Order: sequence, then structure tokens, then C-alpha cells
Amino acid sequence: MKSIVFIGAYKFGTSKEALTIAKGMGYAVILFTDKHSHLDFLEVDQVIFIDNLLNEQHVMNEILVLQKIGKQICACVSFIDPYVSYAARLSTLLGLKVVSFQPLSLMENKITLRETLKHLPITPAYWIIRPEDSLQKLKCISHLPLIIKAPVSNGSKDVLMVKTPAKLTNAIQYLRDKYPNNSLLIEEFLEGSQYLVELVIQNDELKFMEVMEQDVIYNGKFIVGAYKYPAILEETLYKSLISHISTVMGELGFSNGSCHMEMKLAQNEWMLIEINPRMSGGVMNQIIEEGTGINLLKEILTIYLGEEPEFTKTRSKYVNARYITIQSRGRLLKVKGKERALEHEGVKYVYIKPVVGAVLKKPHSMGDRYACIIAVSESEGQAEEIALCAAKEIKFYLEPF
Amino acid sequence: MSKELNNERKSNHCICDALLELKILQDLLQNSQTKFFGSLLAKIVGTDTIPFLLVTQKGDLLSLHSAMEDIETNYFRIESVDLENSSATLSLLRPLDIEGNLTTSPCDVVRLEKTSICKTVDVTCICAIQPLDTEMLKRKIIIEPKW
Repeated sequence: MKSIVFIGAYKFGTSKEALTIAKGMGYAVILFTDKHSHLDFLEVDQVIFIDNLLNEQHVMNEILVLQKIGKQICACVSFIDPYVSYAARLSTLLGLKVVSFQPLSLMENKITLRETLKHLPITPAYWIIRPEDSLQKLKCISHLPLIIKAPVSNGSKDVLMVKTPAKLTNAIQYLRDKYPNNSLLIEEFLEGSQYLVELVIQNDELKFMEVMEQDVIYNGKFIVGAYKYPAILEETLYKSLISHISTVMGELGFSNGSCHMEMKLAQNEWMLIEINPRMSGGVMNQIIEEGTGINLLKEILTIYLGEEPEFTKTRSKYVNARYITIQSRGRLLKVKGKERALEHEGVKYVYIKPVVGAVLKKPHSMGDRYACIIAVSESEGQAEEIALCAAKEIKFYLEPF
Repeated sequence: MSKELNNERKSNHCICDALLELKILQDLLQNSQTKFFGSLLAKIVGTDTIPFLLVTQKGDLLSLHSAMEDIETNYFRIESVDLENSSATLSLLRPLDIEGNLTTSPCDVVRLEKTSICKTVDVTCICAIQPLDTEMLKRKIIIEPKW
């Protein structure tokens, strides 16, 4: 039976949706996971539990067993960190039609990515702090405010902004305690609007590119509060963005696969914040599908299967995806307003993440966004207004905890 | 106090005795002044009320109504017990839902609020007492997000 192997998944968002789409495409879905809570995913035909998913030999042995019992493995993919390039490597070992493995691996480490692209104008000023480096006389200190990142973190958990020398030292120490063997990346802080670019490249050709603006909230951590699709950009900026992307992909040798880039428009110049070797998580597939009619995840899976994707837009709408965060800590007693939010004209999707009994808190990472509303309209402003009005219907009732 | 609690039955009706015991416990919450910690017990519990439900001989929950304040409730606080006449004076507790609105649906009650409305009940028509969590009197509900 034709099957797709997935390495890891979350309970919600792109990686979970990929399982459903693969099933809908007629493939048997085989999920390798290290989470017992994934054993009851309805769209998965077979769950293989492995303590350490990065144990390549163990995973390969299991795949060989699957092949022996008649499963035809057509693709091996992952939509979550840190398994994206790993899944691509497994694909190579299995002799499958694969995406570019080396570039994916480069993108997975923020430091190697910066080093590879350091000569490009879109790379901001950055410094690397090695575990053995002294914190005295840091060269970057004259460039405050600065951003400090752990090289392999995601979801903004370990991305810190510092404005004073003392906070810089504290932040480095904090991340060193957390990642004692890793170098840290320090970057200049750039003021400007932030954009997310979803990309698909096939045979060195940019097959799909959509840009959306991000509303980034900063309260000690950077949290994306909303996505606005499509981003309203002047033609020259759009063209220069395409040009930068082509250069970056060329430099990385990324000729097949999908990724997303976070870009900042600082003083009318594009600057690269980061590249992730996979489609964005969360509700990105819904945003793109509502805006264009293209099921991006399905087309990405098509590429992984070695087939020809179809990126024809069947509609052109403005989409606003608004996330809800809270400012108090408490145990969730009840959530109200989902149905009322859905009643707003233009609201396509309302997702409430936490279940009753969960402890909710102020946002410290993207995972602390507790609801999402997607609204669609004929204008950017209208989509934003609908999403905001619908979001105001959602109420979380908490008891102090 | 423990002597008072351990006394043998005083009335001809055990529900009366049980309500008296509940009253003694409830008074203990408020009036316990000890040598070293003073009113620590009252602070720990954080309320002067042990809420309860009463089950009638018919098997229903006793429901009392105050026309003046338009409250109908199954939730009570014991105020006094008349052992001789097998009656008890109860104050009504206002049952509130998660949004702070009055509710008659037991599933929706998350918080109880004291009132000064008292009713005297013939205890002989009661067959059971169900004490409830004192947390219901002091529960704080946060509503988020604040726009």
C-alpha cells in the first residue's frame, strides 16, 4: 500500500493538517512519534512510537520492517523542528525523490545560516558568542539594542531583546545556562514592519511565493499577534524581495522544497530575520487557502512525492488571522464566544486551543497564543476589522492559579 | 469547642443535630482565637460560611425563594437551630454563574454570595444535608482577554 511516513507532529496546526491531507490524498499515513498522546490521531493508519526520533538506525529499521510487510513508502517528511532535514536525509537513504537536504540542514541552525549568507546585503550585523568567550569587552555592546538567539530554538522561546549592557550579559548567561555547549547568535535590532514569505522551489524555479505582514507584539518576547495576507507592497519592493530570495536560494543551493522566510523592511531595505526549512506552523495553510484557493500543504506533499504541483490561484481575497493572548495567569474554567465569533460575516475559522483545566498565562512563546480567528474580505481593512470584532466575542474564564 | 461537637444527640431529629454541628463548625471558623496564632484558622479558610444543600423527604433539593430580591436558591448558610421546635433559620446564598449572573441551573453555579435574607425551615421535612466546598464563597473569576 502506498504510504507516507511523517516524522513527528504537533496536536494542532500545519504538521497535524499534513496528516489529514495525506490521508485525503489516498495514502496510508504512518507517524513516527515520541509522544504517547499521538497514539489516538484518527487520520493516522499506523503510529510507531520511538523514544528518540533522531535515532536514525532505529527509525530506518522500523521503515524497513514496514517495507517488508508490503508498505510502499512514497515519501518521508516532517513539518516540525528539528526533524525537517533529518526526514530529508532518511528519504535519501530510502532512495526517494527528495527535497534539497543540505540547504535544509543549513537553515536549521541560525548561526550556520548567517555565516553562509554573511556577504549579502539582507544579512543584518551579527556576532557569534562561543561558549568559551569572555563576556568582557563584547564588540556588539556599542550596537544596543540587540537580539540574542539560541541557534536551534523556535517559536520565539529563546529570542531575547536587550537594551542595556547589563541585560545583555544577563541574557547571554541565561541562554548559556540553557544551552551550555552552544554558541549564541547576537544580531542588531532592526526597526520596521515584519513579513513572512512562504516559498516553494522546484528544480531551481520559484514555483510559489506569497507574502504576508506580521503584527509582532513585544512584551519581553516577540509574539506574532496577527497575519495580514496579502502584504501590501510597492512593486519595486516586491521585485527586490523576489531578487533577494533568488539570491539566497542560490547561495544555499536550495533547488527543491519548501521553506518560509521572515523578513524585515528596515528603512525601505529588506533584511533577513530568519529562514525555516519548512512551511510555517499554525494556521498558515488556512490563511493561504482562504486567500488563494491553493492548498499549499497538499502541493508540498505532491512535491515530496515527486509529482507535479499545481499552484493556480482560484480566488484572490484579503485574509486576517488574529491570535488571542491573555495577560493574567489562571486555570481555565470555561471558554465562551466561539459560536458568536463564527456568526460574524467573513469569519471562516475559529480555533480555541486550551481545554478546561489548563493553566493559561501571559505569552512567553508562540505556544501561549490561545485562540485564532481567520476572517476573509474584499479589503485588508475590512478583514482586519471582522477578525477583531470576532476576537472580542471570545472570553476565557479563569480562576487565579 | 470539641466538647460541644462531641455531645450526644440533643434533639429528637438527627438532621437538627447535624445542622447544629454544622453551625458549631461554622462559628469555629470565625470565632477561633488561639493563644499563639490568633485568628489563623479564619484566615486559612477565608470565609465564615459553610454552604450546603438540603434534600427533602420527597427526594428533591429544598428550594427557597425571596420575592423581595427575586432569588430562588438551593444553597444555604445556617444561622440558628431551634432544637425544641425542630426548625432552623437559614440565610439564602445567591447562586452565580461564571459571569456573575444569578442562575438556577446547578451545572452553571460556580460562586455563591451571602445575602441577609433569612427563612425558617421545618427540619422534619428534611432527610439529608450536603455540605459544599467553602471555596464557592470566595472564588474569584478572571475574564480574559481585556480589550
